[in-house]
Parts: sequence; structure tokens; C-alpha cells
Amino acid sequence: MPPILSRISVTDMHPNLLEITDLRTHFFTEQGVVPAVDGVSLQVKRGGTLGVLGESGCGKSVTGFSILRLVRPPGEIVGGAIRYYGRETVNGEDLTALDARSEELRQLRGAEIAMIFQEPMTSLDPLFTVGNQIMEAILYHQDVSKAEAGKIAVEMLDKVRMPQPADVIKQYPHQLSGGMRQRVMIAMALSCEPQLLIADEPTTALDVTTEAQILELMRELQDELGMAIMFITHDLGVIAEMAEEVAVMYLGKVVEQSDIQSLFADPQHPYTRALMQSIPKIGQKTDGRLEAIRGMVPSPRSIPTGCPFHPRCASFIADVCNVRAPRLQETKRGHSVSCFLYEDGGGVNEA
Amino acid sequence: MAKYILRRVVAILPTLLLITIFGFLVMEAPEGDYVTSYIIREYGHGNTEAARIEDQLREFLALDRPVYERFVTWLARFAQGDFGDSFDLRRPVRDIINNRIGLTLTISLATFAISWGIGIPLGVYSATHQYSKSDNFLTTVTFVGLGLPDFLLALAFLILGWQLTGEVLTGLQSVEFLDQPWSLAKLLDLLKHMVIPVCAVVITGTAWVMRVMRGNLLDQLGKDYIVTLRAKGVPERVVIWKHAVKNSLHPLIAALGQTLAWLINGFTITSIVLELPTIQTVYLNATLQQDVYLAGTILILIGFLVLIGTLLADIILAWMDPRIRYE
Repeated sequence: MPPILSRISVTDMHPNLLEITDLRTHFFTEQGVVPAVDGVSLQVKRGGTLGVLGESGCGKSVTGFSILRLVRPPGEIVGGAIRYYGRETVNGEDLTALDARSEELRQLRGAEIAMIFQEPMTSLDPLFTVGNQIMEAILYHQDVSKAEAGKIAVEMLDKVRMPQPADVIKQYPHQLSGGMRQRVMIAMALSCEPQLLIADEPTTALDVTTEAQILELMRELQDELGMAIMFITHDLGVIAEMAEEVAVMYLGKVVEQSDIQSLFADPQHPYTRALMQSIPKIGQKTDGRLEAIRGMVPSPRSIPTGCPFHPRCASFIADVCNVRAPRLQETKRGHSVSCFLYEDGGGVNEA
Repeated sequence: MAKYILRRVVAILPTLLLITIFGFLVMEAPEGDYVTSYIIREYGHGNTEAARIEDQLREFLALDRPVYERFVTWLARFAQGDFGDSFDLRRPVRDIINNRIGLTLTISLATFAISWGIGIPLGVYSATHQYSKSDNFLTTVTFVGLGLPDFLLALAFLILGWQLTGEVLTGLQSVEFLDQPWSLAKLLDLLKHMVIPVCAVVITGTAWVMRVMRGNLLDQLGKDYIVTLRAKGVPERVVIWKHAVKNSLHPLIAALGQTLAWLINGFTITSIVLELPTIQTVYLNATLQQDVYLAGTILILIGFLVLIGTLLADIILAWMDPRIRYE
């Protein structure tokens, strides 16, 4: 058990490990401001799994990077709060208030909040052995000798079901396959037993068989280590397998948030519904073409007025959706949606 | 790996032979030979008598023999360590090189060490502070350094030095020290003369190293593994110096292969402008005058250094980057 957890008694723990409130991360490019994340609020439960679902460019990865404060210029967090209840369990500490280069944040990265990425092929330094890179993560956070760190590294590789871990530790990244590299990334991320693992499309670059193995492995390790996972993906199937709670994002905003059963049983936002309809179903006879969402994701530099989804929406209400911005509202217990179809008091934010 | 190195070392000899043959042929290609160019020069100095001893001179220097015979004779003696005599300086080639190699290496090694020693950290600073005021300033200086040739800078410094001290600091030694044994005063005199050539060449050298370092480091800093390192809580200083810089060194190490030959072959025009007693000036004159044995020996030396340098660079690259394997 990590030293942090053992100090904290269960009773004074905040139920959420992470609370993101109205996060705004904008990119100030020469062509204009890109509001990649524009008012996102999310909660990750202690030990739970939050799935963040959305297509390319919806801001889901930037949300993940914002938590670890890894957004580099021209990107910048311009508003909102990211409260982390790992150490300061009562009020949490606001990660947006820390200096991105501070020692405090460095100690948090990897040790309490770890991250794995989409491209295992390029996410490891080609010039250092796998063992060296796992040990590096351990040595910067734990007070252990090099020999002990090496032992932990082998144990971690064994834990992620790496065959011959004692040999792999001496190998270089290019000697391993994509699936094995992703196992190395997971071993590295979990080597300090973090409380939160941010997984940014960790299986997107892998083939389907390897993907299944990695997902299985992540679930097992989560059970064993008790960490929370924020799982970022565009894949509805993967979300269904991994997540308990899901946030659906579109153009920098959360449009629907719910537990996984409710989302699949009763998708409410027209975007979520369209996404569900665009999955081909085995055994279901269709009389022709696969449903697709019409139109394209607009350029993030020219986000539509009102509801950002209105130009592509099947339930578009003229003079409402293109004028006012809907608010995320709870429609039933644990299920919120940001759409005028469900709004009773009418839109609040004038666009 | 050992086998690979051995193979490369063995390949050096035939390559050198080819370089030498080619060099010899090129020097034979123009009309006339050393004697013709000697007579023309003497004539220019008002000595009209020289033309009369043309045949004698040619026979004395064995220039009346066919080129392949001269080449083979010279090469056979070269293999035994006798590099032949210079036609023009009337001295053994070995002595001429021995006399100049020390000062040549002093200047070029100082220049090399300073430009790499300054260039790498400044390049790193520039890349890690991209588009800041200091980066923009350094980039501007770099463009000036790359844009102005070093001999022009040397000339400007020469004039500046003259204006400031009233001395024309050409050469590497003041006349009064020329035949003196080494002493502190002579050393200080040498250092004083080194300032101009070293500064001039360092400016362009540093600019190049900085430019390459900055570009490569920026490239590396945009890569995925850098994000991984930051995400696992590695201090930024370690991310830069241990990981990103090591990954950026490839082109610099490849250039290191050329640097070995550059030590006796670089900044030739600056050497001439400043009348430095270096190998470069001798080499240029020998080539112009078709002083074939002198030029040929220096050519072999340069070729040898290029081949050894490239081999060394390849070995260092393989040692540094596990993805490179020579089998």
C-alpha cells in the first residue's frame, strides 16, 4: 500500500478522488484561440472508472493532459479547478493553482497520478533499456536503492504478464512489440501504485486481440491495486467493457454524463444516440446502409453558436439550438444531459 | 562489432590508395608542371635566367620521368616512411609537416573545443526557451555568424586589433620570438596572436553547432517519450539533459567524423588571410605550384583523418544508439 493511503483513515476520505469543475483549456494559436476544453466538469470516484468518450478533437485528451498539467504552450488552462483529494482529503488541492514546473507537481506526477498513452511505439525513450525507464519512475518517487528499484521493475513486469521479465528489463524498446511496449508503459505507470491512472486511448494503436488482453489486464490490476482509472477513448465497445461512469464529450464540452447501464439503455443526447446508431450490430438484419452522423466535426476555430452540435443534430430546434447554449442538467438520478429537448426551465446562458 | 571495426580498418588502405591516385592525377591534369610554374614566377620577379635551366631543373627533380614512374617510386618510399622532398621549399615533407602540425592543432583544437563547448549549451538554452527574447537574440546572432564567412570576420578583427593596439596581428608569432626557445613571454605572444583567428572561426563554428543543437532538440522535445517522462515525474532538467539532448546528438556525432580532418584542413582562407603558419596554407600553395609530393602527403593525411573520423563517429553512434547495429 502506498504510504499516502496508509496515513489516511477511511472515514475522512472524500468520496471523489478527482473533481474537475468548469475546466477551460485554450490554445492560443496564430490562427486564433482554440477552446479545446471549454467548461468541462467531471468526477472520478475513488477506485472507480470514468470513461471519457468522444471523437478526435473533442478535447478528451487535453482534459487528461490538463490534470497532470502537461499542456504546453500555446495551450493554457484559463479557467476552472481540478481538485485532487489524494493527500488533502477534506478540501482537496487544486492542481490548476500549482506551477506546472513546481516540485510539488512533479512529486504528484507518476506517484499519485500516472498516465499511459495512445502510442506505445513512440512513448518510450529509444536510447534507454526498458528496465532503466521503469526504474527511473521508481527512483524519483520512492526511497529505495537501485538494486531494489530493479527488483520492483521485474515484479511489475511480471505483474503485467510480461514473459521473461528479468530478460525484458535489459531490452530496448525497439526490441519489443506494440503490445509488449504498452505492458511496459502500464508497468511503469503502476510501479509507484498511483491512486489515479489516466489512460489516453491505451489500446487504439493495438490490434484487437492485444487490445482485449490489455483491457483484461487493466481491469485485473485495478482490482488488485484499487486505483481509479480515467479511461479516454473514442471506442464505444471499449467504454462498455471498462467504465462504470461515462462522460460523452463533443467539441470541448461534456454533453451527457451517466452510469454505463443508463447510457446504453437510454442514451438521451442526440449526439450519443447517433453514436450508438452508427455501430453495426451483429445478427441484426438491416435493409441497407449503416447510420452515420451527418456532416463533419466543425473546425475548433469556428465553433457553432448555441449548442455546438446543432448543425449536425437530427432533433434541431430552429431559433433555439443555434441561439442559446444548453446546460448540463440531471434528467434522472445519475444521468445528466446538455440538450434543450430535456430542458424544463429553458436555456439559461444566452449565447 | 569487433569484426566490423576490423573490416573497416582494413578497408582504409585501398581507399587511401584510390584517394592518392586520384589526387596525383588531378595535380597532373593542368598544363605544365612545377618547373613551368616556377619559371613563370621567377620571370614575374624579373629573373629571366631561370628559363635556361628549365631542363636541368626538371631532370634534377625527376620531373622528366613519366607520371606513373614518379608516382610508384614516391609511393614505395612513402610506405617506408620517406614522404619525399618539397620542390619549392627544398626540404623534406616530413619536416615541413612536423614544423606546422603543432600550431595548426593548437588553433584548431582550441577553436573546436570552444565552439562545441559554447554551442551545445547555448543551443539547448535556445531550444528550451523557444521564441523567448533571449532565443530570438541568439537566433539572430546565429544567422549573422552563419552568414558572414570566418575570413571576413578575421579581416574585420585584424583591423579592429590594429586600431586598438597599433599592431598588425598576423601570423602566430612576433618576429622577435620566431627562433627563440619556448618561454612564458613567447607563449603569451602566441596567445595574443591566436585571439583573432580563434574568435573568427569560433563565431561561425558556434553558430553552426547551436543551430543544429537547437533544431534537433526542438524536434526531440515534441516527441511522445518526452511527455511520458514528464508524466512519470522526472525533473525537467533530467528530461532535457539525460534524454532529449542524448537523442539530439546524432547529427553532431556524424559531423564529428568530418571534424578530425577539419583540424588540419578547416578555415584555410582565414589561415591565408592572417598568414598563419598552418598546414592549410602550405597545402594550398603546394597545390597551386604543383609541388606534388608535399601536396600528396597532406592529401593522404587528410584522407586518413576523414576515414578514421567517420569510423570513430560510426562506432560512437552504435555505442550510443542501441538501434544501430553493424553486422
